[in-house]
Amino acid sequence: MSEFFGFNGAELQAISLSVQVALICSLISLPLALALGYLMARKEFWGKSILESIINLPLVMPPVTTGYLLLLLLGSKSLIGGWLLDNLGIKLAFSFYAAVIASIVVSFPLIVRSIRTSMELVDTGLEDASRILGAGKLKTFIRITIPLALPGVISGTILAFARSLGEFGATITFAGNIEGESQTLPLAIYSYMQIPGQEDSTFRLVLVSIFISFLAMILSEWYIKKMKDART
Amino acid sequence: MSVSLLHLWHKRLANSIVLGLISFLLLNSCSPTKKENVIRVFAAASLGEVLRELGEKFEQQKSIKLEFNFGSSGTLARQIAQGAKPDLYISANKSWADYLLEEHIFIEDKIEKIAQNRLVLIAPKNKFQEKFEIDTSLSLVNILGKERLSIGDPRHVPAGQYARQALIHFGLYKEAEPHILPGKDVRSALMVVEMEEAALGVVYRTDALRSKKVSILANFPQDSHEGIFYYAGLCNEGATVKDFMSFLVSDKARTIWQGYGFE
Repeated sequence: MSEFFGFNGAELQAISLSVQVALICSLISLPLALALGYLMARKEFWGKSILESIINLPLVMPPVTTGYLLLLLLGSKSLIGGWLLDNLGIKLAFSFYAAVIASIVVSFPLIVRSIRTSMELVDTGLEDASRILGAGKLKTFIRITIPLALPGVISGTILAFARSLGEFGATITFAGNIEGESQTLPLAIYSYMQIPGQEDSTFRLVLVSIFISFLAMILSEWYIKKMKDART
Repeated sequence: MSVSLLHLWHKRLANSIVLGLISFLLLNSCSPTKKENVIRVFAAASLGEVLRELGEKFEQQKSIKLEFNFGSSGTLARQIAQGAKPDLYISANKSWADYLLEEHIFIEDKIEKIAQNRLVLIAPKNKFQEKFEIDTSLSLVNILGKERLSIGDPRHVPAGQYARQALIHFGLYKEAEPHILPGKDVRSALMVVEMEEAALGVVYRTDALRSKKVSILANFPQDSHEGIFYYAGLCNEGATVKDFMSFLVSDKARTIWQGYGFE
């Protein structure tokens, strides 16, 4: 039994890397998605549907295509990637940061959608009341809008976290499959599947990825239920 | 009133779409899965272009259709082991062909060498073009600097395993290892060099020849690594498959193989 749970170094690395990428991805996505979700829920402006389509594009595009586009956009030959390389000496493609960027782009539509929907349901009368009573725009946003939209914010973040854990196509195209740098769980599983006789390692990692995703889902369900109970 | 009519109409439309889809799926699944006069070939991705041309020539000779499924040798082998039924399997390395041999997939319990490939060192065309010989005095790190060396993932991509053997042969692997960017297959290893994400790469000669964006700096000698052979195994008794197999190793086919850089 201890043999079964005895992960080797590469497996542990893949697990911790996956969790790191997913955590950083959710942490960066969250404030951006809060701002954008609010914008989409409350404001009308020119080009809104175009912006919405662009955000949602990675949701319907094959992830490999997304990865390839990222490579064209941020690779060292591209405008942005070339500038970063020449001026700051940063090479984005095929690094840990590339794995994070790929995860953010692919999971962003999920978190924005969830936050936007829950903000649309927040009664604007309450926001107005807060403004009339003297709170500023930002204070109203933080003290009224976000707390009332919290279930959507949390489930959106969990969704983004889970999507990022499962991200494969864009990551392998844009970040590569480098052990300890960009080899996350799904990529490690893919690599093991390619080697005859590595069924045990494959299966162990599959179990781990199921376990982490399951844990995230249960946590969010539990938290949302707790909040509902507190309100009634 | 009009609202409920519209609602009804929507419902009808949805129903007919669902019905249509179901009948389409049913009809499709009833059609015979195994067609006569069709040879199904599962082959390594690096054989894509050459096999398509060879297939066209063969189709002209006989009134037979060829269906190809190209992928990494390992993926295809697993598909076959799980029950996929091609007539012919062609692997880019011996271990996956042996894997199916042990599973007794091949009808004659044997595999056959049908082509050979070579390994080359490449660089992006507009960065480096000078040709040289590879020997133990070569310093890859001098050329690489801080940049990367793109090869197939040596843990599972055959091209990467040959590349590792060749680099070890010349004592270059240790210094090159921290620079290695492992590709998920040999084509993506090539793509990374084409996009100048890596300063050097080790790929098959056939792939490098077909790319306009890389130049071949050096050929690895054949004795610096295991021979790169393609192995074919028959999975079906049919006479037509055997015909195709002997066509693949015929003199007529050889010129086509050579046209693509195979030996």
